[in-house]
Order: sequence, then structure tokens, then C-alpha cells
Amino acid sequence: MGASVASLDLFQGTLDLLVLKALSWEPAHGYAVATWIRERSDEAFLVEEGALYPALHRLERRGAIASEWGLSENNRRAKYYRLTARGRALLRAEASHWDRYVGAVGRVLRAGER
Amino acid sequence: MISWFRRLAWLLDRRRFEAELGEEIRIHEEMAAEQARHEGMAPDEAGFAARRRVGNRAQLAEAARDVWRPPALGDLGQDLRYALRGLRRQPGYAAAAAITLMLAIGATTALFSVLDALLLRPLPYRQADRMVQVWEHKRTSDNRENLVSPANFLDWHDRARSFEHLAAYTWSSLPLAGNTPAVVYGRMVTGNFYSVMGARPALGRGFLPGDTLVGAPRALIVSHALWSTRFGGDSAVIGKPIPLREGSAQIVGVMPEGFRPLGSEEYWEPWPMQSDLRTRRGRYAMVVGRLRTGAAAEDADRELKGIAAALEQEHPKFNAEWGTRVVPLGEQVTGGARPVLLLLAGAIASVLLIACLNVANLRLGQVLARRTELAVRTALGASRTRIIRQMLAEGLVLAAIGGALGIIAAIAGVRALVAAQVTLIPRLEEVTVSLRVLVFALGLTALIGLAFGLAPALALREDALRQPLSRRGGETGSAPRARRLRGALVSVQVALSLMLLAGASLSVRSLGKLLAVDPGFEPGGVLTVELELPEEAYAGPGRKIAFYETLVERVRGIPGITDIGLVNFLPLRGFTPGTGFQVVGRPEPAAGQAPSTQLIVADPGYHQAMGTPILQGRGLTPADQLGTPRVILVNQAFARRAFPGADPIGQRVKVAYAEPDSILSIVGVVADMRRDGLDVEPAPMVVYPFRQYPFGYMTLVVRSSRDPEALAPAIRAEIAALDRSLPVLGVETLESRIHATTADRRYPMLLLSLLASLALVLSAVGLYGVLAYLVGQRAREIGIRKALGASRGAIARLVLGEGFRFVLLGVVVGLLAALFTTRYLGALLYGLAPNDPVTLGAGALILLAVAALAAWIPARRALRVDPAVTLREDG
Repeated sequence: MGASVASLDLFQGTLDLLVLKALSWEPAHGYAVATWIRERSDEAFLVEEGALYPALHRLERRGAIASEWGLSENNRRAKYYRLTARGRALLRAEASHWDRYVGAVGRVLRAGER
Repeated sequence: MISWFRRLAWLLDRRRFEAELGEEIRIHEEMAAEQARHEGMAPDEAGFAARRRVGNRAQLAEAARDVWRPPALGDLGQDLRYALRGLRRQPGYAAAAAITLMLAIGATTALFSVLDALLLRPLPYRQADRMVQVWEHKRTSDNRENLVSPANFLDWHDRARSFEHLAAYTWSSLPLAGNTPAVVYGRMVTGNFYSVMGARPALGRGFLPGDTLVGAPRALIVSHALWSTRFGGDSAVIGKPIPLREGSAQIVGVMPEGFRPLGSEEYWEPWPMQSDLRTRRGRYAMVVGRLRTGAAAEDADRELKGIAAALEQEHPKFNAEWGTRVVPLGEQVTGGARPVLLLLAGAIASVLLIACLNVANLRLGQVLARRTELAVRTALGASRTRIIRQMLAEGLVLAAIGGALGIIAAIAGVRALVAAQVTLIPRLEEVTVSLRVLVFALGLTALIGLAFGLAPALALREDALRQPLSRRGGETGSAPRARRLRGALVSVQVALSLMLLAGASLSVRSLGKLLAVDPGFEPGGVLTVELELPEEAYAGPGRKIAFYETLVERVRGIPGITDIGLVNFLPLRGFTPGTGFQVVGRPEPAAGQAPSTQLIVADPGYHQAMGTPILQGRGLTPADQLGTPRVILVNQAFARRAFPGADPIGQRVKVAYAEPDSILSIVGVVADMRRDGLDVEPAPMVVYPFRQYPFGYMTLVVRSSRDPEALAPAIRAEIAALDRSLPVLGVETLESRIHATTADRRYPMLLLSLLASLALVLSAVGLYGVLAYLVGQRAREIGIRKALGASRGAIARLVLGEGFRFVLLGVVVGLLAALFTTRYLGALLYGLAPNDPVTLGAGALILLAVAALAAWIPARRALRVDPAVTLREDG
């Protein structure tokens, strides 16, 4: 079983980043985003709806994503989210920030291995 | 920032948000269920699993809402609580600020109530802005509001097109009989009066043509007040005869409670426009009109002026040099008071500003003192926004406390004002703290709160918040910007205070000069009693003379009375009849060019009782009676006007009064009296002997060696002994009359003085605060200088010099401002120029003295600074 991303405090920023990435290819609805994250993480991250939708709303409030209603693959009504220009910039910034963060943490953890 | 905008949009469309969120979750659920089925789970088990994963839907919805909800609401409560705690910890500062604000907001709100009733609220008539008053005025005279001739009125009524209705009215009185005989005053009105006023009787009916027929009972419409007090509010009184002294009258209608009469009349009766009114004989009516829709007051004014010009041609003897004047009713009612009220508004606004600056200064000092605390909070992670919000909350709380107290004080103050019945203020009975006033007060409070909250925050820059922590033991160079700001605030306060002080001083001195004017008579120890003999019982001159002379003899016998006389119109009553005259032997003046004179009727004892000397010739004697040659006295102004440089005794004049062609001989010259006002130069006047022209309406003038008021009961007893049912119209001492005359100057003067004192106190407090702060800030520096041997004088100069620079700046600016603004004192000034240097100079000196007083304590503290202590403090 993978880690269930329900705790908002720790992974709010991380979840936002993953959602942005998920939407960077094409617009998708909420369920598709959750599925994408689950699959790409090899079932490590099971994003619960209680975390996903607040994250989507947060990003929408910040203007990183925009939403509109459309038809899903089986002709069902669904709310689609897409990345805005601001969202793309945010994704780039957050992704590079994440790289530096991970690098620093890794260096500290490997310190004892020398 | 954008997120705030979206939050707002969310707030506005929450229903859609909720619906969409619900649908989105449902769809998610369905897709999850379908996926589960796809992966081989049983359908209901799949649904169950899916629903379990979605979890608590309510919690999800709440989490989503929290993303959007503006956060300010939650934290504001905390900020307010924190602000209140802070105020409780510093009760002195909180009390000072709250009281200052209470006074300022309270006074401003009270004044606004008055201004609201007077200037902003329309008069309580239907479409009051279409109502006008029409006056006549003689072009050669200063009086622009002369009564109207009924004959002229009728011509206007026939010819003018600008009015929907034009009505006239004049005075009348009603001697009511019964258990408590009384005389009530009312108006005779032309039939269309109520159409002009836009009102109808609440009970009964209006006037009908039959009411004015000969033989019909005297028809009355009474005011609601009279109906309630005199007739007990009994509706059965309508139609029943009301006993009068002679005969009876009949109430046909009662006006509604809200109907406000034009003066203080209590009833109305019809004024039949009989044909003999068309004879041009006198001017004794007032005219009020309702403009036709589409006509403006200026149009009506122009039209009437044209008609008046035509009337001048048609009746030159009566109308030459007479014109008309149309005044909108609103202006008529409040016009006189407007300049003074605006002046007072300016004064109160100044005090409000001073008070606010004081509180601002207090706050600024507070905030500067808390810099360490704020720096710590910033270091601990408080954002600048948070701190600004905190300050805003503090400012709002302070303003709210002061505002609430101020509004309560204003309501109480307005009630007291209305109860005091200050006649200076027209429409006083309408003054209340209305909704509009409350909104104004709340808005003012909020504005002040915002200003106090934001101002200090703006004065603190981000780096200034962090700085204090990096240096030990406080700072030596206190933020110069803040110091200059506080000093500037003091300068403004000083300037405003000087302006107010100048205005108050000028008005005080003016009042003093006015009261020093010789009124032409001796007001001390004189009582006046007003009487009117009803025509029916005292018809003919004989009866009137008999009554009054008997009364005079009987009253003379009352112990304590030294002199006694009779006159028909006392001075300083606001009303003296006037007419034209002509000197016999000189060419007759052209129509309308005849010189004017005032005239009164008096008995031989009048001038002695008034204490007015006869300067030339003789006074009136009992020998001047019906049948003997017609004689008159004249005053100095008349003699100067008609006989400059010559002796008026023995000259003969004709006066356009009673019998215009009878020739009157001048037998004496009496000293001038101030009749129309202490500040109005006496006009020419003639005095007719009572025995030759007996009036039914006379006033007894009684001079006593004792307190004149104590004589009133005895005099009333003598009157009752002669005629039990004769009501006494008014009893007043001359001193209180003079006092009442100056009321319209006295109240503004008192208020200005109060405001100026308040301003001085507030400014002194503000100055003290700033100087105390400066001394505290520079304590270390003072200690060093003292240790190095500086003299006391040098220390004092160092500390106070800066403070006084601001004071001097304020004085200079204040003097300049006063030079510009004192001219608006207008009518309050008397005998002084607005830029009277003595007064302004004295004001500046007073201010400097107050400033010196305020600086006393900080200066002493500075001198007492012990270098050993302050240098040690630094570590």
C-alpha cells in the first residue's frame, strides 16, 4: 500500500506541484488527475478526494489553473482543469525549488555515509 | 492580489460553487465506481469502496470552502481582542484618547444635527421648495423686508402669472373668556392660504365663503396645540360657540399636529378681501405664495418687480420708490442664522481636528515606544500586513469607544439644547439626532479609526521594525521623521487654536463694546407690563384714557415706585411703526421722496420712567389733550435730519399718520434711544401725546427703587381691580429685554469662547506630550552634556528649543490664517476691525503663555536629569 496523501499540512505544496505537473500535458478532470498521480507514482501516492479538490481550488484561486465544464470520454459531464500561463511559470519555479530542496536533503542524509 | 479578487467573486456566487462541487464529487464517485467494476469488484462493493474513499463529503466541502473564504474575518476577532487588552494595560492613554474623541465627535455630531435640521432637511410643507415669501421694500430704505399693502397684494394676485397660489395674512388676536381669560394670537388669512401651505384641517373643515358674511359667527381654525391645551382635545368643540370677551366665535376646524405655522400663531380666521382693502392706506400684511410648476423664484421676482413698477405709475403717492422682493421660504426661515452656523461649524471642525491630531500624536508616541515589541513580533514571523492590521484594529477600537460615547453625549446635548429653547436657532424644535446624523457620526468615527490605525503604521517602515533589536538599550537618534511629524502636528494644532482664540476674543470684545453702548435710557430697575384693551369694551378715546390714567394713578401709589409712564411700543422690541413726514413751509417732496420717521405714542411720564432726558423745550404734559393744539416731541435724530443746525422748537410738520393733514408743533427734543438694536443708529422719531392719540394697546413702564420683579403681583392686582377680565400680555424688565436683544451675539460668543478654551487645552496637552517624549528620548544626551558641564539654560534651550520652534511656526501660520478668516465673523463683530491688532496680538501672547506652561514640566524634568543615572543605563 502506498502512502495516502491525506495530511494537508505536510504535503500541501507537494500535492500542488504534482497537480500542476499532471495538468501540464492536457486539460483533465479531477478523477483523471488523481489517477495520473497514482499511476505515475507506481501506487505510492493515492490522492484522496478530500485532499485533491482543495488543492485544485487552491490552484484555481491563485490563478494557476482554470476550469470549465465539458464532456468526458464517455459523454458524461465533467469539470476540466487546464494549466494557465501563470500556472506554467509556477510549475517551473516550484519544480526547480523542489530539485534544490531534494538535493539539499539528500546531501544531509548521505553525510554520514562517508 | 488576484487571489483576493477571486475570493470576492467566490463570495458572490457561492450557490453555484456549492452545486458544482457537489456535482464534481458525484462524478468522481461514479468514475471511481466504474473503475472498480472494471477491475472486477462486485458493483455494490465497488460503490461502497468508492464512497469510502471519497470519505466524509461534508469535510471535503468544508476544506474546499476554506480555500476560498477570505481569511480576514477569522483573525479580526483576535486583533480586536488584542487591541482591547492593549488599551486596558494603558488606562491613562486610553482614557485621554477616548475622552478627547468623545468630546470632539460629540460636539461635531451635535452641530451636524442642527445643521441637518436647518439647512439639509426641507421645511415640513408639501413641496416646500416651491414656497416663497414676498416683501415690499422702499428703495431709499435699508429695510428689505417691509410689510405689504393689501391693496398691492390684490393687484399682484390679479396680475401675476408665476404663482399657483398667492395668499396674504395679518395679525389678529382673540380675547377668550371663561375661567381663565386669555388672549391668543393668530392670523387673518386670505381664503387660499391653505392651498399655499399645502395643508388641510385634520378635523372639521376649511373656510367657506359663508364664514365672512355679516352676521355669521367668527369662524376659526385652531392649531393642534391650542385645541389640545385649551379645549382638551375634545372633538365636540367643533361647531359649538366659544365665549369671547364680547360675543362668541366658532371653531370650524383643527389643523393636524404636524402643521407648523409661519410664526407662533395659534389660530387662523378668514380675511375677507373687501373692496375697501383696495384703498391704499397702509402696509401691514405678509404675503406667501406657491410657485407655479416650472416657475423659479427668480422668475416670480422679476415678474413682480415689473408689476410693482406699473403700480408705481398708477398710484404714485402710495407706491413711488416701492419695489418687491421674492424670497424662497427656506431661505427666509433659516437665512439669518446661516452665516453664524457656518462659522460655528468651522470652529467645531477646527476643534475636532485639533482633538484628532492630539490623539494621533498620542498614538504615534505609543507606537514609537512599542518599537521593540513590534520588532520582536516581526522577527517571530508576523507579516507587515498582520502588524498593520493589528494597528488598524487598535485605531478602530479607540475610535469606536470615542465615537459611541460621543454619540451618546451628542444625543444628550441636543436634548438639552432643544429644552433650553435657544431662540437664535430657527426650527429648533425639529433638531434631533436623525438617521442621517447618526450615519454621519458613524462615518466620521470610522474615518477617524482608519486614520488612527493606518497613520502610525505608515510611519513605520519595514526596516525600522527590525532595527531596534540590533542595537542595545534603545536608540539615541530617535526616528527624525517621526519627531518632525509629531512637531508638525503640534504646529497645526497651535495654528488652529490661535485662529479660534482670535475669533473668540474678537467676539467677546465686540459683545463688550455692544453692551457698553448707551441705549438712551436707564434699564436698571424698570418693569414693563403690556396690556391691550379690547375695542368693544373700550370704544372711543375717552374710555381708553380713563382706564390707563386711572391705572397709572393707582400703580403710582404702590410703595417703591419712583416713576411711571405709558408707551405703545417699547424700544428693542423689533418693531416700531414708521411713516413719512413733511416740514411745513418747505416744498412738498415728490411722491416717495418724503423723509421717514418712526412714531410712538406716550404719556407725560414715559420719558422720566425710561430715564431719557428732555434736551430742549418741554416734555409732554396732561394739558396736551384732545381739543388743544396738536403737539409732538421729536428726538435728536429727527432734529438733525429735518433741521440741521437750526432750532426745531416751534417748527411745524405734517406726519402721514391718523390725520395726515393736521399740523403738529414741535415742543421738545428728547434724547435718542436705541430702538431697533443696540448696534443700530437711532432713526428719526416723533412722540405723540397719549391724550391726543389714545391707543388700546399700551405698555406700562414702571421704575422702582426696589427689585422691579417684586412689584409684578401688586401691579397685576391693580389691573384686575379695574377690569377683572383683562389679561396681562407680558411682564418683563428692561434689563432682561436688553439681555434678550444681545442673545444672538451672546450664544455664538459663548460657544466660540468654549471652543477656543477647549482648543487651547488640547493643544497644551499635545505640546506637553511631544516635549515629554523629546526629553525622554534625549535623556542620555542631556546627561552627557550635563556631565560635560553644560549650564541649565543651555539644557533648557536644547530640549525646548525644538519644541518651541514648532510652536512659533504654529503661531505665525495661525496669525496669517486668522487674518483671512476673522472676516467671516461678520455680524458678530461690533466696533472692531476683523484684523484688530490688539486682539490678535493678545491672542498670540496668550497662546505662547499656554505653551510655556505646557513646557514647564518637561523642562523641569530635563533640568533634573542626573547624568550618573542616564549614563549608567546604557550599560
